[in-house]
Amino acid sequence: MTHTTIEIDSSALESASLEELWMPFTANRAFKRAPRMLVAAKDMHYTTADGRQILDGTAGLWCVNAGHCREQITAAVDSVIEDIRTRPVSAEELERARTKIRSSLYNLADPSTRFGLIDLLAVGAMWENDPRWANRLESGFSKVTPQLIQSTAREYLRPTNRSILLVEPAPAAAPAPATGAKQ
Amino acid sequence: MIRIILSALAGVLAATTPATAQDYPPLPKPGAPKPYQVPASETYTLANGMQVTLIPFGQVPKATVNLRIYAGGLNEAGRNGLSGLTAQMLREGAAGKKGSDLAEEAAAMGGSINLGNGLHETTLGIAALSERTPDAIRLLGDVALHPDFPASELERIRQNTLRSLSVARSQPQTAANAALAASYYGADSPYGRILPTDEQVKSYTLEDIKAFYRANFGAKRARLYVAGQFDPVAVKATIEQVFGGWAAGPERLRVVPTVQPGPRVILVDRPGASQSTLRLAWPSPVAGSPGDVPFEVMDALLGGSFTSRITKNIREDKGYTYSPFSSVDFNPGEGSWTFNADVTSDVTGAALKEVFGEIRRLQTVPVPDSEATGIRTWMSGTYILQNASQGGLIGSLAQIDLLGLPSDWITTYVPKVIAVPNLQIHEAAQQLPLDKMTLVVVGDLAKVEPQLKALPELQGVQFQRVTPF
Repeated sequence: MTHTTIEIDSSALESASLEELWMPFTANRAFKRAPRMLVAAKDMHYTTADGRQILDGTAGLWCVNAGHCREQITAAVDSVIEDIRTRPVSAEELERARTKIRSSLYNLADPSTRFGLIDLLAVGAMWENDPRWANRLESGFSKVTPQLIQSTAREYLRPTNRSILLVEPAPAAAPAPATGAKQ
Repeated sequence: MIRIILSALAGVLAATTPATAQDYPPLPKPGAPKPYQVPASETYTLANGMQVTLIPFGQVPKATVNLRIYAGGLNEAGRNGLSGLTAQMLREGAAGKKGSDLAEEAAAMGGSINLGNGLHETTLGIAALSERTPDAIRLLGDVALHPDFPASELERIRQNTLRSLSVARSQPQTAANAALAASYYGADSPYGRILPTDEQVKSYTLEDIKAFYRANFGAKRARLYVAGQFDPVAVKATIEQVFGGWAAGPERLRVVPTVQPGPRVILVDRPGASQSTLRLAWPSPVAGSPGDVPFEVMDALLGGSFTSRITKNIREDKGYTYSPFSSVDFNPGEGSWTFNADVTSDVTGAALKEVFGEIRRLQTVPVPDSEATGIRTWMSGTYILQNASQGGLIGSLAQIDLLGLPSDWITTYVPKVIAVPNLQIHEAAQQLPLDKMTLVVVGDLAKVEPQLKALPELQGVQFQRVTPF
């Protein structure tokens, strides 16, 4: 696993030119006058450029934040990935997955409006230069073996192929400058 | 994978949309509706009385299996909620298999077991890969014929039911529906009680559930539909094998509701409510009667479609409400027309004034031909779309059985809609006499009642306050 740490000079962030940036959900003039920059996050807190901790209470109607840089979540994801890399899936698991994906493909191709089928043909025409690509999808599913799943997982889900991006404040964060964005 | 590619496609299409409307050629006129033929189906009856309908249909190798049993709220004999609890328990264990095993079996066929329960029916369904259709029939047979009713699952199902009930009762829309049903059909009618009490749900034992099942589930009350691509020989043999030994059981119970005539205003106080929830109801023609289709076209034009007059007026023009709609609802031997809306408290009276105005306008002024043609075309197109999926077609066939409609109802529906003369649309509106309405308002009555009292249509009508739960 690679941990890439980007060291950020918080004063540079504060003074970074924001003029080119248009933020669609932000009162742009007010923000650019006194930008509040976040430089790190851990668990339920953000850290601002001037070193303050802010509770990340972001949540919506359907989801709530699980926190930042949670070792438990990384470990849980790792264990599932490691399992699929090291243990061949059982014939039953593969058959269930294949049934599910065939069933979804048919649902896509045969709803009452036919738009799903048109979309499939369009995808084949645009990306494969062949609308008949839609007809080959199913035979592709049947060719998947437990060995192919394992070798694919080993090729793409390698620890060395993965980056966890951690944003951490520079060790000696300078106090925030009094002035706003660079003119 | 497929989903990701399709979203990428959507992005490309969005990016290539021309910037101005002037780039488009003029809008083509809608074409005349094309004739619609229902796929041929085969219906037969097993020796025990169970009905079977097979509909070869569709372009992909999937089949929908749907078992409908006339066992629902009508059969509860005052024990509200017992049929729902029984239906929920069916899926929790059957033929010696746990609920999770049943779910896994269904997943291995490419679907899941869907469960429904209402006033008239309990329904079980699954959409499976074609080659698994016989297995899907066996699985539904296990659940419907050999439920284990495991005691270990009852409390969880009961708590889920109590929680859903408590959420439902907190909604003004449920309060309005409950007040309307109790007033319109009578509180003692099974049609008049839409929710059980907590005490009722808490009182039912596993033995009550088993007794309800024994008394109400059986072959004579059951109909099995299979729609899609399937091997008819294998499917028929499996149906006989699975369901042939099912006890005939009781006949279907038929209860035609009696309606309490208006005029009546029913009020439910919800102090501080920022919106008023409205229901306006009248009797309408019985399904399949000569007045039915003209009345349905009238409904679509008045309030039942997004381009309807009431929606254009109080949503698009006045902004009183977000989603007003009307509908025609059928029970065997009975029909009703209901208008529904949630309107801002301050304009409750103003919104009703507009709705009454639209009803009166349709009653007194003939309908322009362009508007009538547009509505007939919209109804024809959406009806064909509704019947173009396996589940949708089964739903329409089940409706024919439930309501006792003629067997060619689906095939003849579109020509009937197209043939409704403009004059009949206008005449159908006269079946909504403003001096015979049932009006339900759930809202902040301190604010709303004076607005209602000021409406000329409500002068002399008795106002009654109720507590629906």
